[in-house]
Amino acid sequence: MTLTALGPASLSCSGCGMPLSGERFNSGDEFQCGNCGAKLEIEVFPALFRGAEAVMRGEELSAADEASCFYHPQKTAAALCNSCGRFLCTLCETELAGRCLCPSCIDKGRHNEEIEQLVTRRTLHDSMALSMAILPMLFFFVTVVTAPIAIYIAIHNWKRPGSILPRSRFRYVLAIVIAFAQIAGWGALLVKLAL
Amino acid sequence: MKYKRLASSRCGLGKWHTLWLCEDHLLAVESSGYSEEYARYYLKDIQAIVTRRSSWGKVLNAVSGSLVAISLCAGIGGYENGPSPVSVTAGIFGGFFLILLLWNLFRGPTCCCQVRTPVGIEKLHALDRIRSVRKVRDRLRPLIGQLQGGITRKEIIELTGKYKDVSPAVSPAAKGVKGADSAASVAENMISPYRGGLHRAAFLLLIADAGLSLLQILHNSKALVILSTFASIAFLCLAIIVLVKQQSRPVASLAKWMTWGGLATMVTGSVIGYFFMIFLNIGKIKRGTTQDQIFDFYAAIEPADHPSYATFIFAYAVVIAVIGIAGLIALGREQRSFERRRP
Repeated sequence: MTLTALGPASLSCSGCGMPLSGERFNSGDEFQCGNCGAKLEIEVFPALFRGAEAVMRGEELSAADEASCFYHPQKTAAALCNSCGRFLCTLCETELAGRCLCPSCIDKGRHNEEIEQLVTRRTLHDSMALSMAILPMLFFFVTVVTAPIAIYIAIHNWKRPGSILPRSRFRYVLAIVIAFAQIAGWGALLVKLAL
Repeated sequence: MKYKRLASSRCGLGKWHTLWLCEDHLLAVESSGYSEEYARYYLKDIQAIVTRRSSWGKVLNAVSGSLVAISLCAGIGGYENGPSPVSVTAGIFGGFFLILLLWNLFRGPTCCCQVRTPVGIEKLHALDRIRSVRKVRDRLRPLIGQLQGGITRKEIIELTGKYKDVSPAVSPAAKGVKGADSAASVAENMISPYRGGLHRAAFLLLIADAGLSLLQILHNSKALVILSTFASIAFLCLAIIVLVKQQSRPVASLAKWMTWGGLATMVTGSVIGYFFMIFLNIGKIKRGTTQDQIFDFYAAIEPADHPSYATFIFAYAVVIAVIGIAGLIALGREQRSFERRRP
C-alpha cells in the first residue's frame, strides 16, 4: 500500500489533484470539483486541523537517587513496561493494546506476532487445508496423496494463530473429515480389490 | 479484539477487500483466500474521508445492457420455427447479463473512497459504492467525534480559508504533495487543454462502422466486409491509445465510459459475428483457409436470408452508433464548458 505525503489542513480533489475550498465539506451532499467536474463528498474531522504533536523529549534526571530509564540513563523513568518490567522515560513508553510497552518488547511482539495490533499479514492455514481436501476431488486419483497432506496441514497448524478476524476452526474440522473420508474410500477400494 | 464487519467488495480475480470496525480503529483487510493483509486506521487519527463518484458502475451498466440487448436481438432473431441453438444460447447469455445489470443497478453508483491520516492518504477498496460509504460514514461520525471532539462547518470554512487564496504553486498542498503536481499540470491544461481529437476520431470510426454494418444488411459485399473490418481494427487500436491518454487528461466522464462501452461492444460484436460466420459456413471452413477466403465467407452471408444474423447486425450497428454519437455530444459539451470557464 502506498502513502502520499501531505500538506497541512488542505484537501485536494482525488480525481485531478486541484486544491479544494472548505465551503462544501461536511455538507452531506455531493459537489463538483471546479476543475475536472468530479462529484465529491468530503467529510473532515478535527484531526485535520490539529498541529503536529509536540515531540516528547523526556525529562532529565534531577536527583541521583531518582529512577532512570533503562534505555536512556540520563532521563527520568516515567513508566514501567508491562511486559518486561523495565523503567521507561516518556520517550520510550508506547501504549499499545491498553499496555505500556518498551521498544524491545514491541519488537519482540511484532516478531513473534504476540501483539495483535502489530500483525500486518496472516496465512490462512485452515483454508489451505480445506482446499487441499476438496479441490483434488476433481481428479479423484490424486486424493491418495493429498488427503494425508490435508490432515497434516490441519493438525500441524491447529494451534497456530490464524486470521485476526472472527473465524472458527470449522474449516480445519471439515478438512480433516473430508480427508479421512477420502482415505476410508481408498481403503474400501483396496479391500474390495484384494477380495 | 471484537471486530464488526462494515463493508466488503470483490476486486479482481480471487481478491476481495473487507472493512472492519474495532473499538478504536478501522481494519482494512485484503484477502486472497490463503492469506490476509491488514491495514489499521485509528479513529483518533482519521482526518478526512474523501469520496469521489466513479464511472465504473455506468461502464458496467452500459456493457451489460449492450450485451443484454445484443443477446435479446440474437435470441429473437434465432427463434424462427421454435427454439434453435442460437436462441437458447442467446437466452442463457442474456439472462446472465440481465442479472449482472440488475445487481449493479441495485447496489447503486460506484465511487472511490479515500481516508486521510497524518501520514498519508489511502484508498479504502472495500468502500466502492456511494451507499455503503454513507452508511459507514454515518456509523463512524459519532465514534470519531467522541475521540476528536466536534467541528462546525463555520470552523471548517475559517480553518481551510487560510489556504484558499494561495496559488497552487506555493500553497502548502503543493509542497511534496502528489496531488499538487497534478494541480499544477491541471492549471496548465486550463490554458492548453486536450481537445479530445483522438476520442473524436474513435467515435467517428464507431459511427462509420455502424453505417457500414447497416449497409451490409441491405446488400452484403466483400468490399463492405473489408472496410468494416478495417474500421473495427482502427477503432480497437485507437481505443487503446485513447484509454491510456484519458488516464491523465481531464476528459468528460461520459466520453470516458463511452470509449470503454464502444470497446466492449466492438469486441463482443466481433466475437459473436465470428461465431455466426463459422455457424453459417459449417463444412466450408477447413484447415488452411486463408484470410481472403474468410472475407469471402463473410460476404457470402446474405443477412436477408438469415434473420438472426440480420437482427444481430442491426442491434450491433444501433448500439455502436448510439455510443459514438453520445461520445461526440459529451466531448462537445465538455469543450463548450471549457470555453465558458476560460478566463
